[in-house]
Amino acid sequence: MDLPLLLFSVIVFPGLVFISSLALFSEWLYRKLTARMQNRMGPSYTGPIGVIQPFADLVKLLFAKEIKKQRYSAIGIAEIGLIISISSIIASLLLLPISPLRLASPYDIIVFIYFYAVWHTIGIIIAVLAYPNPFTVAGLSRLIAIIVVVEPTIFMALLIPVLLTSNMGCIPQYSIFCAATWSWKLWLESPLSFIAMVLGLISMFIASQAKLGLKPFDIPEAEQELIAGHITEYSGTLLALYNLSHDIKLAFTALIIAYLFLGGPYPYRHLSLAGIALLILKYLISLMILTVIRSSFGRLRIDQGLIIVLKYGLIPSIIGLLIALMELLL
Amino acid sequence: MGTIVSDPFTVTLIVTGTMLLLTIIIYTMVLSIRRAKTSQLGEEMYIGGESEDILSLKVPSVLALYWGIVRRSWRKAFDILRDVVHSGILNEWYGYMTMWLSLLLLLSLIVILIRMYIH
Repeated sequence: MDLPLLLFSVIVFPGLVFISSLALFSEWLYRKLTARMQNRMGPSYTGPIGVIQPFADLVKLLFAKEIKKQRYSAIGIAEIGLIISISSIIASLLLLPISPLRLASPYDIIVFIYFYAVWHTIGIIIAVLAYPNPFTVAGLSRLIAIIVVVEPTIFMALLIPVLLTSNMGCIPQYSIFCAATWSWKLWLESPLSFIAMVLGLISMFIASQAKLGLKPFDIPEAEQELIAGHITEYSGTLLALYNLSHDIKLAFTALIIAYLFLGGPYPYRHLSLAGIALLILKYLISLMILTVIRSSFGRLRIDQGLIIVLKYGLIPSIIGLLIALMELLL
Repeated sequence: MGTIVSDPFTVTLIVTGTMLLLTIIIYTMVLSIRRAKTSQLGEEMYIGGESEDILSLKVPSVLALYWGIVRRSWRKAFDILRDVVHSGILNEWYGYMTMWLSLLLLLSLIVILIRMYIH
């Protein structure tokens, strides 16, 4: 294996440097759009139209603010948990075609879910439990309740393009690489695959909204009830890492929607002008839909939130999967 | 640009290795930033794992019977357990679990070595 290329992919593009920059830009765009929809200004003063405000916030938290320590806190463990949640997402970027070094294998959808869903969640849970506080624990219990419903939804939604592209003869079978490169063909393949993709896309948006903790699913943080829920005790570096982890998750989610459901740059190549423009356009559309949902709703109660994810996320993804299976059998 | 098609185990190993490498890189960066900027101002808080009625009721409810009995009959054992395992500090729990798991690992290694020696 080409080790320098692997290191380049992990650290520079699309690894740490690129995804962090994209994450901070996405946060700015999301804050600015939300503000405009709510008739506010949003970030305006730092950089041209406030574009480097999230970066300034990050630098201030990292270098200027201090960490609040208490007897029962374990700063090191909290940091490691948050860093695991960041690095698990960056590592799973290697499975997407955006990376110069692409890893693919049959059934690597399982590997993808293992990093995107399992390791990321474990990292967050370790980090939250390292700072015990009644609000933190209440926030975490809500977070886990949401995760239990959201992760199966995401898994089933992702399974739809993976299953259908393997059915079309893409090799390696059941891989993220296949789903990402051939998913644009699914929209034109047959009426059944079109319906399955629409259902998958809808459930993916709903589940992503809940996974990201954006309104109406910001139930674990719920400022008016739980102060800041599972991140109540965080300050300084820890809050910076949590914010970065959240932004990276936002950027990565928009990226996988753009690749696995909207088809990425295809039918153009990655390095062509049309391909890059198409990829950016699809990324912005995904981000904008997440932002519009976030700006249009108020917070739900935990039971209402779970029911919404079940009704409009899990059930459509199950129906979509069944339709994909029908397509497979026919 | 290159696509490496491999088996799922190799891909899992490479991605896990990548994740660990990134964790070490980011942690080193964070450590170099964080030093000497912690404060201990504010209230300390103990989040108890015990249900409230163990502490408040004279006779504990059915759900809390086990800890109720341990607390009343084996006061010393309860205190040791609470101080060692149940302090609410995650580091101590990790230490405790690591100690026990290391002991089990050591025992299993000894058993394997004895078995190999006998056969």
